[in-house]
Amino acid sequence: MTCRRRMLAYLVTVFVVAAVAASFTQSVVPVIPRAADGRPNLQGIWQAVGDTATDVGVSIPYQPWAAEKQVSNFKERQTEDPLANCYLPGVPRLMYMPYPFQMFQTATTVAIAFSWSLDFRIIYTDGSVPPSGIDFWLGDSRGRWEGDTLVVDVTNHNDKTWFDKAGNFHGAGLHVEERYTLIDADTIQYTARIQDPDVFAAPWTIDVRLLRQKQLARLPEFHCNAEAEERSGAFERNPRTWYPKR
Amino acid sequence: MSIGLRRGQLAIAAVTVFTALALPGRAIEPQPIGRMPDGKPDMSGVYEPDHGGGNYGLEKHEPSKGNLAPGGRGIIVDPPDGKLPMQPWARGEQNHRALPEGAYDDPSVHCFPDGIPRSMYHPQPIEILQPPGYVVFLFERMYWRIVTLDGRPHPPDTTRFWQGDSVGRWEGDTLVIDVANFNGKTWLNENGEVLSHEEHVVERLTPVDSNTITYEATIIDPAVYTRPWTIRFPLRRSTDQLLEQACHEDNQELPYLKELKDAAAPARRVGR
Repeated sequence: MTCRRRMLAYLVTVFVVAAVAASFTQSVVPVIPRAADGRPNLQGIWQAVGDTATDVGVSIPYQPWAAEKQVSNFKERQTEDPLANCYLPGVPRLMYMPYPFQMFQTATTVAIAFSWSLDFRIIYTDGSVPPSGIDFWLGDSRGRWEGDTLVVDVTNHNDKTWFDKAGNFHGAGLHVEERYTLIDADTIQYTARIQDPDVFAAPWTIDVRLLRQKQLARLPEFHCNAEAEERSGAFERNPRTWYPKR
Repeated sequence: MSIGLRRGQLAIAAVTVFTALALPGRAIEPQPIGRMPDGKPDMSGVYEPDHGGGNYGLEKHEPSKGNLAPGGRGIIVDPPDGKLPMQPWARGEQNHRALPEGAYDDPSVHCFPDGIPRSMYHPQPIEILQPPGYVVFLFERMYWRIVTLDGRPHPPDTTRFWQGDSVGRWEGDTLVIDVANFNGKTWLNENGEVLSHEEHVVERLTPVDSNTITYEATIIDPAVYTRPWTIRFPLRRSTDQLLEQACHEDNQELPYLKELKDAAAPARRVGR
């Protein structure tokens, strides 16, 4: 091969490689819905994939006393799990329970309405700060956009909620940093970084995918306590007013 | 805190010295109603219902003996006499529910969703959001209602909800919401006033100024009433942030009401 032909072959190779790389890049850059302000549009009905709500399934760096507490929580979970009493599940647990939720987005707010007991969260994205001295079952949520990721600081928790049915728990010093990233039009990568220096030796992370529930035209209602009290008879059917059972 | 209003206030403060006195933390002077980019009224923010005691009786009523239940100014505007046009069986049902031992059966004391219209006059802050395609109401007692604005019909008859299915549309500056598909499990108030699964509601929310929405609801329930009837009261803007009321988690009233019900159980059986 002459030097010139070699050079030509080289150039052709570079061109082909570059073209393939460009088309590959184009095909993996996801097209995601965007809101009027250019932010990723998280609106829609979503539900977590997988069984994180049963057991977060990662090795949690508990402090020794806390590791023992988790074992006893697990043994007593039928009665000690806050969800056994239909109490508010807390954050992040509410995000990966096997029930759908609907996200709404304005310029200053992301709101989440959950099928579960008609619970809801308001994530303020207006730069405001949490109130001091008040704790909440669902914490206080303040969000900001980092590029195309919604980052939410969830603080002001109480110490009564768990992460899952397996007795994994935290204290009132819990700080959750959530990250919501649309990885394609119908998938949110959800990450919750968990910190609580009173309970854990180091921060740890829960990763969950949230899938758009295209088959749901509207958010169903599942009211935990109403279902439980109807089953137990504490809340009695009124045949003159209730919709007939079909 | 209503951020939308605060922003509006700041804009006006830039041109009006007087308005600067009404910055957050002070009472907010009413302004003309805010507008969304599409020109529709911007009602977003936190409100408190000026409920007129509707949660204790929709008709005008005095406080109960010992002031256990507050009085009410009466919020029924039709029929003109301000009385609920109940069918006889419904009046009997309501009288029964209003007995002390009937209070346990009020779905609200169990912290279940209040349904419509009770969600709107149960004393509690309400946050209104207007994301694209929806109006969303978030209630401090921890339940929501979602109003669709895309013109879709109600779901099939067999689909039933505590909060009903809310389909909204704008008529000028009035948000008109048609609500159907109720499960019939809710009461109108602690006085035991009756609704059924045949309930159908047409609500009209009309902003008066930046601080006030006139709320009107016509209830059509042919299983319970002899004719449609209408309530009206204002929603007033609040400067507070919506909090989280752990109603069920901290329900200290229910065990007491259960005792009253159980104590009266033999008498109830004879009386019925």
